[in-house]
Amino acid sequence: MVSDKKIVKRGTFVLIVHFFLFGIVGAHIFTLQVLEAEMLRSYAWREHNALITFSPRRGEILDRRGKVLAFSVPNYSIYYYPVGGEGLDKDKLRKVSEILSMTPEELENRIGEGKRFVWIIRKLPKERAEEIRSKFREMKLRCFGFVEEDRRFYPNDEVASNILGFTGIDDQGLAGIEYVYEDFLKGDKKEVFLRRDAGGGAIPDEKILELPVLVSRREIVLTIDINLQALCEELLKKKVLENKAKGGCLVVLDSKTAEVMAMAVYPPSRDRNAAISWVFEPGSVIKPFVVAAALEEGVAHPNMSFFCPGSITYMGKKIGDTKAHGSLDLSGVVSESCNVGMINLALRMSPEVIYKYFLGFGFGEHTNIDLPGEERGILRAPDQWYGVGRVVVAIGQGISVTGIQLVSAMNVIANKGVLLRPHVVSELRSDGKVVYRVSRKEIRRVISFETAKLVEDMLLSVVEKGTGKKAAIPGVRVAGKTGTAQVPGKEGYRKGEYLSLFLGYFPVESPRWVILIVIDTPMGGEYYGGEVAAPIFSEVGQILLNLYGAGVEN
Amino acid sequence: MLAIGILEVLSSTAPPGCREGGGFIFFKKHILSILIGLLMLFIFRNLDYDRLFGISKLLLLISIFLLVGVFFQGNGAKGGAYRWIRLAPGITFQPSEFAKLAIVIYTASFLTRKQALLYSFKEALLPLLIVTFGIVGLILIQPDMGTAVLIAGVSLILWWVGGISTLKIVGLLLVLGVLGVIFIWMEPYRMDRVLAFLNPWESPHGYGYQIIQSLLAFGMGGLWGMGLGKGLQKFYYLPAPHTDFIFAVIGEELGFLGSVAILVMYVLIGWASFSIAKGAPDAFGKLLGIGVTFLILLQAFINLGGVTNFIPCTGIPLPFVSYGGSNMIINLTSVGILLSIARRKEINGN
Repeated sequence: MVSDKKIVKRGTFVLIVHFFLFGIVGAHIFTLQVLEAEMLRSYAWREHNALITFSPRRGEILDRRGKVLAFSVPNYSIYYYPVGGEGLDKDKLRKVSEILSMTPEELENRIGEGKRFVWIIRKLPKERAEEIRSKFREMKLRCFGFVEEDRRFYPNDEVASNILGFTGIDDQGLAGIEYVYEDFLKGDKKEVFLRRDAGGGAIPDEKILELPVLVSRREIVLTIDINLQALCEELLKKKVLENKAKGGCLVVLDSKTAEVMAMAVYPPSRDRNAAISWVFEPGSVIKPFVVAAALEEGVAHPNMSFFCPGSITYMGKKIGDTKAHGSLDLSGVVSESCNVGMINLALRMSPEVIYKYFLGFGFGEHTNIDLPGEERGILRAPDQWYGVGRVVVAIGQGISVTGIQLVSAMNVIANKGVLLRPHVVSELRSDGKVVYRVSRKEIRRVISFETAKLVEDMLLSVVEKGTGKKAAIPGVRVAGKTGTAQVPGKEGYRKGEYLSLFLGYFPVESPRWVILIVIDTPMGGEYYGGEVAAPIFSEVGQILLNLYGAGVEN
Repeated sequence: MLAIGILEVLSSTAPPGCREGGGFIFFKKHILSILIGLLMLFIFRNLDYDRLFGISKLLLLISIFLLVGVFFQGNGAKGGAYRWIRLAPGITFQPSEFAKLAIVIYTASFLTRKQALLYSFKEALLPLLIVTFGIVGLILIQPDMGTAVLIAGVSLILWWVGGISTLKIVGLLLVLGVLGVIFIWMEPYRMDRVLAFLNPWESPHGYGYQIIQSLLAFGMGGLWGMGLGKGLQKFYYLPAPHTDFIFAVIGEELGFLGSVAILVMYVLIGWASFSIAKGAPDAFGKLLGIGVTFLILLQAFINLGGVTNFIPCTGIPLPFVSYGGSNMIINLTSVGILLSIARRKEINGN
């Protein structure tokens, strides 16, 4: 018989035991929350915080007036990654392929064995991706995932594509400005420790608000005027087709700053820029630079007289001319583009001197324009100018150049003796602030002011009364030089194949624009530079005057 | 009446405790459980507890029936365990919770009835052993380790308090201890629990993960806590943050002071409950009251000791605080029974 008293006694004992245990738990909690708190907290911090990399959106490319030429927009890519062996049966495969608007076979091919991560579709616009995502949700498909990826857009399509270049599927620059300024455009990744849940998901965190500021918005401002570029491309295309030519290029350089304002090539290409990578023999457009060398060296003067019988024989080889020019002064040699006169002039200088001036004008070297794929042309050392090579360099044979080299060299005359570095980028901006400005860069003085002035007078006469009359622009004085270059083949020059060139600048009083026109192998009958290229120069000149006015200053 | 005050204050601390856990649905269901629980509390408070004496065997039979029933209900399984009976979509009931109260009522009435025969092993302890460990066995194979340990523990306490000799209880404890060790050895996951208890840092991403996350929560909380709702550990680091590990969330968000406040409240409840039980006019009332008291206190201790790694962790909710309808309703019903005992005392006292 147990008494109520005993119940209470034993009960009290058990109660005290419990209170004692609670006390110990309390002490234990004190250890955890006060004594060991720091240790536990630092352990927890490592678990809670994940290093997350934020990649900024690829920078934009703008033209000189701020028009957007290249930008990135968020797109969505769909991948297939089966979790826990969950695959697609025939029925689902058919439905999914319908949703993705592809054939079941296509989808099956892309999935392959279906065990590994594979991309199904890359870079879909947001709306389309949302639509697909909601349909997948309805079907309760879990083997597909969506990732945000940027897609590059060129709002002007092919215009300036040779300058802009392009990016690969993983947003890496592969050509043009996209390639040269890859690091800048890509921007700096920022790594931030962010709180996350056990599954790696985000936890509402005040730091997230700061994220837009963490990565900077990058912009590259080009010297290109996209309006001018578009007009030049259109004109070039028209002329190439009219003349049944293979192609061509057209460069407009701002004379004072050596900024490239337009650089058109035909046929257009995103991965090769013919204006800087196409290497060709320049023909007669080289002549002003040889004349400049002779004048600077004092071996010739403007009133010097030459006689042209129609051809000249050098080391047993006959070099022809367009016609027998008869008696000419130096200016006439240039304006009539007389080969005999030029060869006689070349003979007054040692090959080393000519070579030195060629180098001075920038031939045989990169102009270091800020575009990828620039060629340096071919300028052999003077001891390798064998046979007629000794003299034909003066008429633009046995030497190969690029378009940008010619424009750059002509700009030396326009700038009265100084070589500038041509460039297509004017500013790099980060969050709207200019972080780098490409300024006018003088490379060297090549010839004296006086020499340049003398050559300029001769180039004026080319347009006023010589071979380049059709380059004339109403209302302004133009300096320039025609060129009709033979195209070298495997065995000598190819019959009937010529490059038609015009290289010049205007207004002569205060040069603003240097323009090069090259038409590759016109087959429409006309092929002389004065007939094919010169009129194009005139048209480009008028376009420039329409766009920027006739005012002397910008 | 003092007891009512304390208990209701505690009940009202439950919702904020749960809201930390998850979505709004949990919160609504939790509130619903509390309301049902309070209704039960009110009913049992006004019911004469003596009536339980008569129906104790019936209650026991019902719980055995239900416990067996969970295994025959095809859709009762959740995550490989057979713990629930589906009443309606989204509403389930845990028979083991019902059983724990039934067994306390039955044991109290049994001990009262057999007061003269308690010295006899065959007449007293054997039937108790068979009934109790039969039910404990059924619950163990669900499996629900926490509730099984709780029932076994409270039963032993009641047996001893009810008059079974100290020697027999100590002997029984030794036998149970040996059986327990064998039982743990048998299942690798039980072994892991013990390893986790002994040295969780040995395997922070394996068996130690859960308990380490719980300890981290306490460490994060420190003295003052991170502030209500500001804890991080509940973001899927902690397993079952709204049920078994709610105390860790409290520790993280309310700090040492909050944790201690919870401990103190259980001590106060224990004290008040025991005072009521002590004052019961008869042996059944006393034993019933003490049984209910330790049902709450021991459950609290198993939970608190477990999440702080003071004892091996077994999944069991924290009374009055954790989410989990069956447990909440049964615990509040227990309080109703206590209040019924208290009411009788008042009537008698007057």
